[in-house]
Amino acid sequence: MIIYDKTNLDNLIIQQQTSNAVHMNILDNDDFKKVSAAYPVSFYTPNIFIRSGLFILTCITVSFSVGLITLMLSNLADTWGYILTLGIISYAALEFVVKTNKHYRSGIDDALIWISAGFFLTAYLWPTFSHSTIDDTSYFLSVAGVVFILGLYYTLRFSDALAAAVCFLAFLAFIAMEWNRIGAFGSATLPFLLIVVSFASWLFARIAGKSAKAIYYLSCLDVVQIISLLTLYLAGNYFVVQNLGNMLFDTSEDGPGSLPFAPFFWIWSVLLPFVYIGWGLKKKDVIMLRAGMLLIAAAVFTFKIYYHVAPIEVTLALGGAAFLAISYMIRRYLKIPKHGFTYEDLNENHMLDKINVESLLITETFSDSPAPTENRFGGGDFGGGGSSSGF
Amino acid sequence: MNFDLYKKLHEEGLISDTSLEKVKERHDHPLFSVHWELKTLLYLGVMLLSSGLGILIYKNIDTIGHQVILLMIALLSASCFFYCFKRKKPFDKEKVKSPDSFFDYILLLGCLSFVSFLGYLQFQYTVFGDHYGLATLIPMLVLFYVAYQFDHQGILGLAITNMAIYMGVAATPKALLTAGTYDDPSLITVYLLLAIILLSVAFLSERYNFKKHFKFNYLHFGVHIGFISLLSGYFFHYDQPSCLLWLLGVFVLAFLLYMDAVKNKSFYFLLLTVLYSYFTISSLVIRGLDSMRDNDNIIFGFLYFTLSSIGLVIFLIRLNKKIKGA
Repeated sequence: MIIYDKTNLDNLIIQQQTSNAVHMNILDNDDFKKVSAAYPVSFYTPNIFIRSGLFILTCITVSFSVGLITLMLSNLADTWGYILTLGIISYAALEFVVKTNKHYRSGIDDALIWISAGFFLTAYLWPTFSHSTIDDTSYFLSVAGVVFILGLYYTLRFSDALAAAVCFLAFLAFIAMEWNRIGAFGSATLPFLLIVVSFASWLFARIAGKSAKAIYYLSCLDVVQIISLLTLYLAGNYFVVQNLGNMLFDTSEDGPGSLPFAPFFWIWSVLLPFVYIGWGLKKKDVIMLRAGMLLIAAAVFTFKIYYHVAPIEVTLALGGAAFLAISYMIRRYLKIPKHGFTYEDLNENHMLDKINVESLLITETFSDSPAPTENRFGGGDFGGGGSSSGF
Repeated sequence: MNFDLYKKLHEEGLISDTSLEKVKERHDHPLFSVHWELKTLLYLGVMLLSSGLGILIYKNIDTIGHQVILLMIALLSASCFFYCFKRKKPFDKEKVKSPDSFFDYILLLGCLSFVSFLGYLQFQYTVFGDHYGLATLIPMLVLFYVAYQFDHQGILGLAITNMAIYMGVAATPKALLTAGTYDDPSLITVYLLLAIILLSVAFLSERYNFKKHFKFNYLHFGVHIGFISLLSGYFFHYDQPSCLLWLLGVFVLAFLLYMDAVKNKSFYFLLLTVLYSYFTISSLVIRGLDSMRDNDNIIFGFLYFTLSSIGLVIFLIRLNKKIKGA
């Protein structure tokens, strides 16, 4: 099913593992050179900059060549068959660059995956644009179904992580809509169904990731794990459940205790991120740990929506101080690595092309922090001395 | 870690005995790094604290509490700097590795609170009077000093944007594109001047081997500001003959950057050169097609973009191979 040559993929995995070991300073460069000579990879995989350049240029090529063809065949262009043909042509181009030119995550294949999938989906949607008779739910159901099938196909064929994400989300949407269609019982139990499905998907992705058969799909399974952990939380988040309920039942509840099973949803909203973090640390599971850290923010926001404790600026300042204090304590605690944890960066060679991404991020986010303003009577523009006019 | 793989590689004679020992050691005692988690916490902590304090000052201006807040910010800044000066490593013109990321972020917090402190002083008490230049010059000098003294590239970026503020313009590429300052000829000149300064400093840092790794930050801002100001100049003077001069500037900058990127094998700057030059050439082609009288120019336009982008794809792939092979 997978389009790539398996020996190449195997060798690629070996090379990646050994180069990681080199970055972790447990292998030296000579070892790596010998290994990569014995297990050569013939894929064309440029670095991220060339890859994004090729991605942009492929998009330009396709849009203008399609525009050109459409201009010449303007009387044919209005049918779904035309769009489908474009999809088939771009898909054929995709298979060609991958098979003959051995492109593997080169930017060209990335672009063609999304372009051809987009054409296929548009070809499906095209005839239904004009049909208003089709009832809404079954229409959306069928769209979710088509997206799921396309996503699954591209995931299996190209083991593309983003395609896996789209496929999984379409799957969830399909199940949610189908369940909701069975009536009031379905709508009322929708959060629980999504919790069960998300959990099952997470378990599946985790177990499947350990089997030898899935070796080429690890990044796809990681993505499924990440998304299912997030949806698992969101499906039981008080704010999400309340708004979903308002949408489905046409109500406008907004109190902190108005939902049935409110305590359950509150416990879920507040505690689950901590469960993730605890579990992540215990099992040394990076995905779980990071998902937990991200969801703490969601828990805080959910809480802030319903309960007003302190003004926002005080919350920000105190939260910031707390984060700094926590990181100081972690650093103190892990001065010498304990229980297999360390705060040292084990993989030090991630600085790509001498680019310090962190410094750019700092500059982008902090450069409009309060700076002297040039006009004392200029009113409220205290922060952001940035884009003001010249002196 | 897949230990069997390393055993197999060892049996095939591809990795040495000592390496296998190290792998076994790591396999038996695996280490889990929370480096990035800690960094994220620090980043968020500094961001939340400094923006919380910023809003706090703003809301409490002209109330009794503002002196307390002023004092708090001054204390915060002073204690951050105290901590950093105590733990800093001696200055060197080569790269100095910082003690750890906690140090980096405390330094950042110190700088941010210092800048807010000065801003507040100026806003409330006008300590710099009407010398607005001075009010932005001092933070800029302090930031540059801290960036070099402590070898902190993030603060260097802040210093660079502060330099732009001192000159009266915004510097981050995002702000540059959203501020819409392209149609003011005096601003375009200021931007061009800024770009020339930044590019020269980038060149000099490398030439005299003085904090060579700072070159990237100077070059990053210099290149974006340079290209955008030159192109703005070109479009502003579109109907005058002087537009050719701006265009010449674009190509000179592109050529210099291309040579430098190839020399340093920097794919990031290579990509920037290629994309900015492609944009320029394409706008020239469109200008040429636009002056054609007949209706075929749309077809020619489509044909141009299709063929030129395919050509550029091939060019990029070849260039990539050439640089990698070199």
